Amino acid sequence: MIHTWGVRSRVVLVAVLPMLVVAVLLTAFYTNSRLADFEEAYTTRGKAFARQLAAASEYAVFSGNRETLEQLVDTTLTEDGVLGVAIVDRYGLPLLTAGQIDEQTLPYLDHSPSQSRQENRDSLRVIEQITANRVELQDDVSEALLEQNPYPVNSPQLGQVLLDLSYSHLHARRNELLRAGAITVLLVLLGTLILAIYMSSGVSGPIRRIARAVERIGQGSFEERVPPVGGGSLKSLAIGVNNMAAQLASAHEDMSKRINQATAELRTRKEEAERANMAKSRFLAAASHDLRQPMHALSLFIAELSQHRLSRDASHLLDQISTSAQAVEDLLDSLLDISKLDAGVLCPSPRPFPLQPVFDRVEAAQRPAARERGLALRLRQTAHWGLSDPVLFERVLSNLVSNAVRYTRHGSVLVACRRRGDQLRIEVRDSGIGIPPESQEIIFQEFVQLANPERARGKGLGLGLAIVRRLTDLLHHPLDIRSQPGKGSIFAVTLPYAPAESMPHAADVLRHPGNLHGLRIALIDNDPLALSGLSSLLRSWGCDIVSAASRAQLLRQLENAGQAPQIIISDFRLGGTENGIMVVRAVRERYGATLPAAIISGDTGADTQALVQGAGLPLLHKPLRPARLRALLNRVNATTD
Amino acid sequence: MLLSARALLRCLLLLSLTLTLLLTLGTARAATPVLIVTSEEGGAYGETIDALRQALAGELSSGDFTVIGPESFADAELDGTRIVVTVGTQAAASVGKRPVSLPVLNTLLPHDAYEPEAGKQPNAAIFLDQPISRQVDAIREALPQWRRVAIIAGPQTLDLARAFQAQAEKAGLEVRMTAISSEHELYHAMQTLLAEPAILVALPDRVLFNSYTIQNILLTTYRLRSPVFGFSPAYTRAGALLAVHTSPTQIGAQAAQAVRRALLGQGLPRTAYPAQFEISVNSTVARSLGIDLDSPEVIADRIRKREHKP
Repeated sequence: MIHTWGVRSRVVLVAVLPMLVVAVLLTAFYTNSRLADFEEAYTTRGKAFARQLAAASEYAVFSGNRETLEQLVDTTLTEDGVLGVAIVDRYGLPLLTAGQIDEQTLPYLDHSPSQSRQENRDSLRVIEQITANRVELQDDVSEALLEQNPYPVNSPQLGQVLLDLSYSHLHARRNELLRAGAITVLLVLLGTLILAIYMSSGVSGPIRRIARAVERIGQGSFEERVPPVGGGSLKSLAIGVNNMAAQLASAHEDMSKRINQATAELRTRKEEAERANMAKSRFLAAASHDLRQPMHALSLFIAELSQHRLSRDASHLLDQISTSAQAVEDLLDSLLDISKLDAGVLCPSPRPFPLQPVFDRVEAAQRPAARERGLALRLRQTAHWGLSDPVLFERVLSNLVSNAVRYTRHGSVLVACRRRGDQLRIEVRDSGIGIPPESQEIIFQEFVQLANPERARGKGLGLGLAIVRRLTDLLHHPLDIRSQPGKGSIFAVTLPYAPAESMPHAADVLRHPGNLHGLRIALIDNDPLALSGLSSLLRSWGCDIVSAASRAQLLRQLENAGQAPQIIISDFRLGGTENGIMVVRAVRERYGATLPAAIISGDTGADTQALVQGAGLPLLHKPLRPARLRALLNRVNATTD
Repeated sequence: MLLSARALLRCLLLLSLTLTLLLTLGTARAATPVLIVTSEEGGAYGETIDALRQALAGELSSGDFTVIGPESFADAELDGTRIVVTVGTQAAASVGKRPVSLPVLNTLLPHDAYEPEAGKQPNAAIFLDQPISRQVDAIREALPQWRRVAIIAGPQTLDLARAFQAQAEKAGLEVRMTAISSEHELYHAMQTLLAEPAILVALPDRVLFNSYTIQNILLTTYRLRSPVFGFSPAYTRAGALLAVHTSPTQIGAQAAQAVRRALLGQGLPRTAYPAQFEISVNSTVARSLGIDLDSPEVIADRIRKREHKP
């Protein structure tokens, strides 16, 4: 316990303890000695009473004179502390008892000399023999006369005096002494304590001042200095503390400078990086927008062209053109995905869903590529349901499988789902070229293709795994990889298991190409090429189109048509300050707030997406895929019917 | 030469004298005319012996006496001894055990201890105690107006008490006597005997009258207004009113007369009580009890006169 004590407590202890010990010992010794003296005096007094009484009562006992005895005993009883007196004859039979004397102890016969002993807790018994007084009778004559008759003359015992002395006086005295002793010790303790505290302040004061200064230095006041106090160790301590504070202050200043420098440097770097990133984003957005516009038109024209009857060669050529355009669109989609993920505008909406339909779709999508390469693609049947965003999860799986197919020359690609407790682990195994351990992290970076230094177009862009990594991070699905060069790879995604729900959620799978004949569409785009491409495609599907390059023009044309549109499709950027959202609002003002609408944009920038989503409108990216547009229109048609 | 012859003569004479002296001393040790056998040395015994020698100093030198203890008498050389004097009861008993044909004089013994037939030798005695008649006379002379006498007899003094009673009654005194066996009965006995004030006679009985009982006896008698008549000076010192007694010196003187007669061939005197005596009186006690007493000498004279009357 003492280890945790401060300087003052220790000094006080050192001062108080010896004094206390001495005080206690001395008090105990003197109290004890005084008590012993008092007890002895008390006993002696009792013995004196008894002796006196024995001497005085000799003749009365000899003569059996009870009256005299009574007088004597009464006199003795008046003495302080005498409880009771008994006088017994030489046979121990009581001649007289007075006061409080234990009659049980009578008759009392004991010829041993006078004695005293403690009878019980409260009394002391003094016993004194009553003997005849000796008178010298020897002289020459009687000596000679009685020579023949040597009677052994001992002092004949006439009786005994029993005297009980009360201990109460003694006890009272003892208590008084003990009380006085205790008070003395307390006073000494108090006095010593006060003195010790007073004196200890001289010792602990400087140390406490140093301690306070050190505490303040510890809190950061490096300018704090200890005033010089005392000499010897105290002085060295104060000087040491001051030196330490000075050192600390200089070190702190030095450190602060360096930190500031480093911070400034870091800030510069960060700003540079941010600028670079912004530039990249702007470049991507601009590039994709600028690429999308012609691609958008191109795909629309191809779609329209395919509606016409063509010669066999022309039809084949159209297919070639369509495939190339498709590849460019895929490329742009992937770039768009990355930019969307980087923008953080994707909000996953997890829900329970069956895995098998996802597997089926992925298999259907990847089977042609696998067959082309001569690979066995197998997705093992599963009845499990998972908890995730089904669309995003499908992108993950689709990317993994397509990656596997792309990098496997021969052998197989296997997809299997296993349940582990409340988790589902979906593994994509391939017998491909494998990934060396040191490269297993960089494959998730954008545009990294280990086995494609020549960047062959057929091997994709190198964005697949980057998207996978971003998506699994977004969905909080752990992604791990096990692979060795030449022994294939296993990519595994873990997602929460969900109990199967009875109602199949796949009703929307049944998508029939609906009849869009007569659907009234209000179309607006400031790009005349895109506007004509889209309107001719929609017309080829049998829709009635009211198209315009601006809001005012559109509203006028709608007025002229005299019929309310069933859906508005607007480009986002319409030149100037106008955008698609404003157009939609204007048209809705006139034709009802529930009028379906969609925004088409070549921008992949996050701000555009955020604006459109904020307005509660679906966003279609350029280049627009005809199938996707048709699906949207079908849905609108179905609801408006 | 002449001188040396005289010196030689002187030397021889001195030598012979010394030898004679040594021889006579050696034989005298075993055969002095007077052989004193004493119970103890010193005290009353020494006083008696000293008084005896003093009285015989005219006739006998100090070399004529041999003093031995009672235990030495059985082996003592008696050739040349003409008389044996015993001092004390023990010495008398010791001498009585050895049959000798020498005259034996027993001194300093009480009447009760004397055995006339012991040792078959011709013997006589001088007692230490007083004749009862003298004690009765002393009572009568000292306290003529007191007629009552009380006697407490112990186991050892019953005979003496009876004799005393008889003598006193003969002298016209009223005697009340009781016999007890221990000192614890004393108080009751005194209460009974001294219901009316009487003179309590202390007998030489250690069971009843001793150092430890005497104070209570005296206190009791004082309270009962009765004087105590003792038998030794110590009693009067302790608080008895008076006592009649003979000192060892007086005994020694009386013994010296008997020895002188025996050495002169006139035979041993008759066994006798001490001829001389003293009266001791405690005048303080007398005043306390309100008793007028004559001086001891006057009382002694009156007793002697009464004794010398036919």
